Amino acid sequence: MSILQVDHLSKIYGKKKQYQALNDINFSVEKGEFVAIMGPSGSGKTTLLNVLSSIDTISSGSVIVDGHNISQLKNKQLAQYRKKSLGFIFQDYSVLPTLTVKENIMLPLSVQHYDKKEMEQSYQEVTEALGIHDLGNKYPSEISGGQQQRTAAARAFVHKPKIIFADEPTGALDSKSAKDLLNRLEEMNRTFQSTIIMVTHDPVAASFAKRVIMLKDGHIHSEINQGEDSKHDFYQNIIQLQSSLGGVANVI
Amino acid sequence: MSFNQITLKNLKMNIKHYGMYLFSLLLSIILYFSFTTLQFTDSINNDQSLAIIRKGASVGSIFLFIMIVIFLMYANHLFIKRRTQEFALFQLIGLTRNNILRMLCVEQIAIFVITGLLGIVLGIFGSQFLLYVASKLMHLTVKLSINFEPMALALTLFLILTAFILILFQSYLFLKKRSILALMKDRRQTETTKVKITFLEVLSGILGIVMIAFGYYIATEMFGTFKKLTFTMTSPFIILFLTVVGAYLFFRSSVSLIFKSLKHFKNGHVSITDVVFTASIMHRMKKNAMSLTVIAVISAITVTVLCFATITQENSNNTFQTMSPQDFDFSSKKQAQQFKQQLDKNHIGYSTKTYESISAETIEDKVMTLKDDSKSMSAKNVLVPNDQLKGTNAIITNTKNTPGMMQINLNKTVTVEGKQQQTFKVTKEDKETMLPLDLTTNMPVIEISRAEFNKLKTNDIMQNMYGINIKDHTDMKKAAAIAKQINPEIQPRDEVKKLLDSTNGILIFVTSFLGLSFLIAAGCIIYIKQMDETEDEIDNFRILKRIGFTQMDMLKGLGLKIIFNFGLPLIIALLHALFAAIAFMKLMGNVSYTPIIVVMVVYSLVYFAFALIAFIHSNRIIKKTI
Repeated sequence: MSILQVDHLSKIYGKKKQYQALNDINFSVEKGEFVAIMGPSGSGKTTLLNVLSSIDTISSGSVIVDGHNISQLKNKQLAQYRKKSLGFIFQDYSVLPTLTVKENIMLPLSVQHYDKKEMEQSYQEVTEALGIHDLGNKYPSEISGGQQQRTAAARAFVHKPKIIFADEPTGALDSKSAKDLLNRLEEMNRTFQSTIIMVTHDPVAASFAKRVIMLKDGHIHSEINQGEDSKHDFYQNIIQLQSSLGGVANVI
Repeated sequence: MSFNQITLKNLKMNIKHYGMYLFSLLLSIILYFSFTTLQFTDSINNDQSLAIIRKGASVGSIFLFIMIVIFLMYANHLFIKRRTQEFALFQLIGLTRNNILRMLCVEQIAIFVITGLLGIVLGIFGSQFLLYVASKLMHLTVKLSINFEPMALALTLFLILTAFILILFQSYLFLKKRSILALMKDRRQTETTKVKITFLEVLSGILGIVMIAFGYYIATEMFGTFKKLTFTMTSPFIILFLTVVGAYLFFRSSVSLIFKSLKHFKNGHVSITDVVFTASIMHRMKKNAMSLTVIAVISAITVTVLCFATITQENSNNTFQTMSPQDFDFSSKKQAQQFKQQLDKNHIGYSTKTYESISAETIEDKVMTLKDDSKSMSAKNVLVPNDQLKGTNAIITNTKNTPGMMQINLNKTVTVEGKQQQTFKVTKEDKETMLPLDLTTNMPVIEISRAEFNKLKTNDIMQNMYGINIKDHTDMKKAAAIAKQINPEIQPRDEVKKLLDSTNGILIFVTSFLGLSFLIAAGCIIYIKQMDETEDEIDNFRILKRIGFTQMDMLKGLGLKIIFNFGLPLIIALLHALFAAIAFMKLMGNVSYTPIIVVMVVYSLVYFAFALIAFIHSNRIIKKTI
């Protein structure tokens, strides 16, 4: 069963000087999949993510999430949809510095008026899985960047959304913290069966996904599946594809 | 933890960011409450008060009201701008704009209730304190007492409510206009996208300067070339329009024109000072233009009001000199004689001074004319004798309070008819001498030789004043009682002085209070603005530090920027006020610039104190960035 269905999606910026950021994109994502969207700079990765996650509008085509066409939803319904069905992780953490780690993570639950027991339980589950259980009473300024990013991830997972959108989640992290976070994401994907769509330019990060969609100049250039390959082989495949696209490849 | 609790916690943690906002809100409430308390205090504002005080107080409070609302909205704008990221995040986790608005509403209620209560309590003490200071400063002799005024409370609550609603509405518009994406990127936008100088910019830049200059020209020629407009009361509004819009265009285009030309000239070779100063200012020219104009206008109004007050006071001091030149002034010779006899009887020492004058029919007057109009002014001329003059030479005097639309032409003749007709040639103007009001009705007076004076005078047109000075002022009370017996309408000099002082004192008090409030408001706005800019540019400072520039390198640019932000509106404001004061002086017939200069210097000093605080604070922020 596909949870996300994208048909003939296009996005055009500007009025006088038009710029086609996305051009006739078609793909679908199954429930519980972990998909990475890759591509060179300016290929439309982030635009695609913004459009899929309802924070930017589309010019033509349709995006259907769980049976709802999101371009036809009203503002209130969109908010409802984001509240219940989506989780976000960004490059620059976006945790509120004024709230503790626990308060930050529970924010989506507080907004949805969960009862206390349920809140505590969800919090317990997600922080244990991400390894930040001891940090609950600390403020973001007192923890490391990797821990802040895991806090943001915990917030994205805590209300068990249907889809999690991650925009360069490892972009600001060192390689160890990045790997750590990706391992956690993979584990979350397995244990909670949450669908993850991640934009990245980093082949290492992409190799944690089950499928990689490669964008070029606003359209889908190719798709590769991990299939039965090992992580390392999948990584090699990604590198090959990337260098064939003319992006900068770094071979280990 | 419920969401409302989180909201309040969020607010509590953010409190140091909102410090300036809270401070301005508190200050506004204190000022407004104090002012309205004074307005409704019976001993200051009652039915016997001069119209100017009653009008002044109510106009003042409306003015203060508008000012405060604008000021608070400006502060709020900066305050919510700081939180765009937070709003974006809230929308991402599924809150609607209405939810966020509700959250802001909870926050603002908390803020308004706390500052409102605190402000009113402090306002009660504040009004007492201000009144004490004011009465000391202005030698107010009337005894004043202030109590808690329910009407003032009602008005203050109304102010709080109005500000609250407008601020919520403003926040609503702010959220409504921005999509989530825009909120996420809001702080990275730049305003000057075009490096080239456009034709429109050149045009509006020049237009701005021309408009201001033309406004000033009308102000100086209010009673000359533009007399007709002035009499229909349109010229003040034209001037206001020209100078305000002109100032906006000046800030919007003229300044950017200058900076762009400089940038063009440098051709990419920028120094550290450019990065911190010019680039940063160009980066936000549009916003700057609006706030600089607001500040310039507020400052201009403040300085003008203060100048108005000091000129009025100076003027009424002059009037006082002419109203009661001596301790006791009698116009009847008989009463003066009686008074002297009584004084002798009571062994009170005194000296006398007698004035005599005639008011003769004017036949032709080429000396005193209306500006741009050679017709003579009045039907009668007042003449006094001067023993130093010979023949038909004459001196014109008592001109200190002459209205600006009147012109004095020296070396011209004036022909009058008393007992006989005579022509005099006026060769000199004596600005210093002031003659009693009762004789002159404040018009210029012509001094002629004793011989000519005697030739003209008849009993019908003759007027005398008998002034009596008491030698020992401890006898004043006794003497006043005697005078009252002879003529109940006689007012001793001291009494007139007292009356004048209390009227003047209140006028000065009201205006200086308003002036002070506006000064603080202008200072706060610009301070908030400066801090806002500095915080916006923390990233820039960080980058500059990382590429090897030190704190000291940035200091010069920062200093220049603060001088620009504070200085430019101040210059425009002082110019505006100067020309307004000149126009006002023309109306009042005062020629002393001292009070205006004093007001301007004091204003500038206080204003620069704010600049200094802003500089120190910004500097500290930069120091802290790593």
